[in-house]
Amino acid sequence: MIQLSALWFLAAVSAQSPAPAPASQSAVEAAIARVGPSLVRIHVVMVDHSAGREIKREASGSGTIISPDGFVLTNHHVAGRTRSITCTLANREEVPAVLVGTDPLSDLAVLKLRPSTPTKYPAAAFGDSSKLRVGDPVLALGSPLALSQSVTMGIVSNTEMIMPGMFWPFNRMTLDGEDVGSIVRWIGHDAPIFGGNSGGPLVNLAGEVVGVNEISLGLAGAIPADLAQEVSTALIGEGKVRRSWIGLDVQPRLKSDRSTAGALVGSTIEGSPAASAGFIPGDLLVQLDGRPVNVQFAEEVPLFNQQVMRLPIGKSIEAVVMRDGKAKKLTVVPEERANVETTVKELPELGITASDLSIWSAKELRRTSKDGVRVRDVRPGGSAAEARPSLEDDDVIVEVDGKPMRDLETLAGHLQQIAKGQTEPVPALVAFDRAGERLLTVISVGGSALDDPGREATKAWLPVATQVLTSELADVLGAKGKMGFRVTKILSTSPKAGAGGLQVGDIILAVDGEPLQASQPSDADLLATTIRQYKIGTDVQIDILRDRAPQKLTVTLGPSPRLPREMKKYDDDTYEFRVRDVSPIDRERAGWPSGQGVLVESVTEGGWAALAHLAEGDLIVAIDGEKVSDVAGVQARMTKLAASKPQSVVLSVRRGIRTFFVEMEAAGGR
Amino acid sequence: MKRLIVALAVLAVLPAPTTAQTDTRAAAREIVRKWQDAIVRVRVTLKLRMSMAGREMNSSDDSVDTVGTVIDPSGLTVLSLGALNPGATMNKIIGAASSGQDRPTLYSEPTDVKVRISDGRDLPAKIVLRDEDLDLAFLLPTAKLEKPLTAIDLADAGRPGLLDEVIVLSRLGRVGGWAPSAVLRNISAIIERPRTFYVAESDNNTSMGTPAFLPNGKVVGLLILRSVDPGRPSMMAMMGSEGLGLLPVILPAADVLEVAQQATAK
Repeated sequence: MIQLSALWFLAAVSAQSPAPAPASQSAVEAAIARVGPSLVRIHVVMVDHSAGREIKREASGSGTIISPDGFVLTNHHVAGRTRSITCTLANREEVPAVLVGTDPLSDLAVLKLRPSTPTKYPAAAFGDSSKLRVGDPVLALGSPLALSQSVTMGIVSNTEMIMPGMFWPFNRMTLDGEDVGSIVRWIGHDAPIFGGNSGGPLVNLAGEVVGVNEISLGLAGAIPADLAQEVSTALIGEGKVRRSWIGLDVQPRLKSDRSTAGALVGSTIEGSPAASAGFIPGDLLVQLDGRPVNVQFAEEVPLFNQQVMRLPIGKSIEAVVMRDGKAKKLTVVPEERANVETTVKELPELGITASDLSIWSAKELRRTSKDGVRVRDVRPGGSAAEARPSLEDDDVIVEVDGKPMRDLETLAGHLQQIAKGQTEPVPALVAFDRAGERLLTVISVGGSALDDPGREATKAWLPVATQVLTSELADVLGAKGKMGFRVTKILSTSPKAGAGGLQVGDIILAVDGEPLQASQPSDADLLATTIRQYKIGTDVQIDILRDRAPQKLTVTLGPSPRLPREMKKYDDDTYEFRVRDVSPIDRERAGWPSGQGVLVESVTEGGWAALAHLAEGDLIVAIDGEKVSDVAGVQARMTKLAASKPQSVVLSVRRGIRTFFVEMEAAGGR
Repeated sequence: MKRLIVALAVLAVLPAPTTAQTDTRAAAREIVRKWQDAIVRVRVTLKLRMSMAGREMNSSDDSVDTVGTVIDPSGLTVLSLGALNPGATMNKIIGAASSGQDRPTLYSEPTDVKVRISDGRDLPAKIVLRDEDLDLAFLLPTAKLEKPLTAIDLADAGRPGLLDEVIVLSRLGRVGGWAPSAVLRNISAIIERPRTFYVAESDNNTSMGTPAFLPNGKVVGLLILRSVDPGRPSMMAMMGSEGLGLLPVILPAADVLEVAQQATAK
């Protein structure tokens, strides 16, 4: 599911009223036949960051093969931040893929298929999106809901769709800090799209890709193919899109302005080429690099921004502005535009996520240079959160133990050095900047987690399961007026504990002569609680009714069995799951034979085991055909596999009454 | 004690006290003075996981502040297990309202425990014993103590009768400047089966894991959250302690002491 929940909601609403489009069946079929073979479903493990941790999530989207050697065009929000990518082709073949380049500003990304043998793929052709007209029939191809490859149909509703101003202040779609609408004017259409359609092609009836489906505001929105083609060519060629930047923000001319051309300069970024060139807010920019500028309406802003971003980097260009009613020439030298965001990384030694400063974030934090490491999020309870003072979002770490930390890589390396070989946390003096102040704090680097959650108190225990003898049961079972418990099962969970001859159906009336006054279901814990008062090893006399006849039994109370959480555990860091030994209580509940398997206690969301659909509560009975009976065996086997890095590991799993095989693949194994 | 702010809320709302009441309050103040250092704040960092139908849905980290009682000069501290394992309480609440495989399950694993003693120092600690049955958790500092801690003597215990007054000690958190606090409560019920529990009038500010005393200075026991099977799930069951099967009670000191012996056993 793509993480555009609000947009997805709106997409679902739009799906209620698909508009029929006038198109011949044969033309539609021909268009589908032309593009369909190039369509791919993209399954990714996304990397995200939340609450000071790196988290992985599964997501699905769509894409189009745009070259015979296997380049795939999709959205940045589908595949731009991933740990693994798998593409399902039109013939249902699954092929791994890698990210070639991604461009959050246009929300486009290019992947490259990595088949095991050289393969020539059917590539779709781009159409000329500038020739689209309102009313043209279009097809949206993709994998909505990650289900299958599918087609919906509609017409072009708008060729210059922007985020409506009335949604202010929510009329911006930012990805990794980039305002996508600042350069994209979407092709609005009413072919229904759903979560999972993202990145899929919008196709004309000639079978050409005229857009890349991205959003839904009720109307669906596709990135025009002309822009997509330009971006994908750059990504394939250089792995990134080089754009010009002059640091100028423009807005449509004011309604009170009687001018017939030009764009109103709203601001210039301090220290930017525009500021150096002498642009000032209020200027009316009428010409840039010899081309006239006209921004009267919001729909024209993206086109102006595209014009700026295509200026030659590093070369002087001329601009003409109207200032105080007079034309004024300015000379500006565009720089290469930097991304707003830099890569975020988890620093577990501090319990934070952090990033380098970009030129943008440095300016926003009013810093004179990009030196330092920006704190993005702090893990509750982590070392940085527990420090006094604690670190907070947007603090900039500048020194650790007196050593300057110019960037994230330096800090990460230094922290690893501090924590290397340490079993106890090491205090580190951290200097950081916050709102113009330089503060000091001491952070325990590499704080170790509790490895033992504490054992459970052991108490005397009677190895039977029981039900309360209600008055109705007592009447029927020939125990009218009696209170107590009926034995429903003899448990065999502890070799030291004996049931002392108790049998299923016995009615327990008293313990050591003390009547058990239980007659309501809410009294269910009375017997166990009574037994727990005794010391382990005590002989107690139990009064019972067996076959309606009173009897006395002497039972030696054994120790309570170990709880499931007390069993030995093993965390597999490669495939990201935790198993533990099966406790007697587990075996009793599930009816599993002893000496078989280990129990899956947790499976990390988005980890390789989760992707293979291993689930909590599964019993792993064999790994690659070799039987396992305890955690030590699993650990030995998985350690060996981690070294050999196989393509996949096959687990034999028992879930409920069924058995099946789980094939786990890891990126490191490929 | 640098900043002793004893929160005796009762004083503020009642009319002029009788001589007996005055005696009780004087006794309460003496109990606070004597045992305040044994009441500590405990900070627990937890990893929280939620899963549904065997699939992990979400995980996060969080920390909780609670109160504990030092019961041995070695620093052995007892607190309500529920504070270490809020997932179990949440599961109880969720379980009271719904059933079936689609019911989310919450897990909480303590990853760090610190005991904040009365002089303001944080002592790293480990969990040495749990008792799910009695809602008890026992902690021990991991580092050697510079000097023994003030500890409540659970062996010097007394038994209250119905409607007797008890003094419940606690300690406020950061907002309250870590001040010791105390309230006077009446014993509103005595549960005899399956074991003895005293029920004290409570309000939302009553902390689990804190000790209750008789005015004569004898310790009654420790406040814990008693838990029983609430029965069939129902949305209405979420309303009130009866539906949830949860009730704050005072566990007699002798019962705490008996389990504590396992905590210190090698």
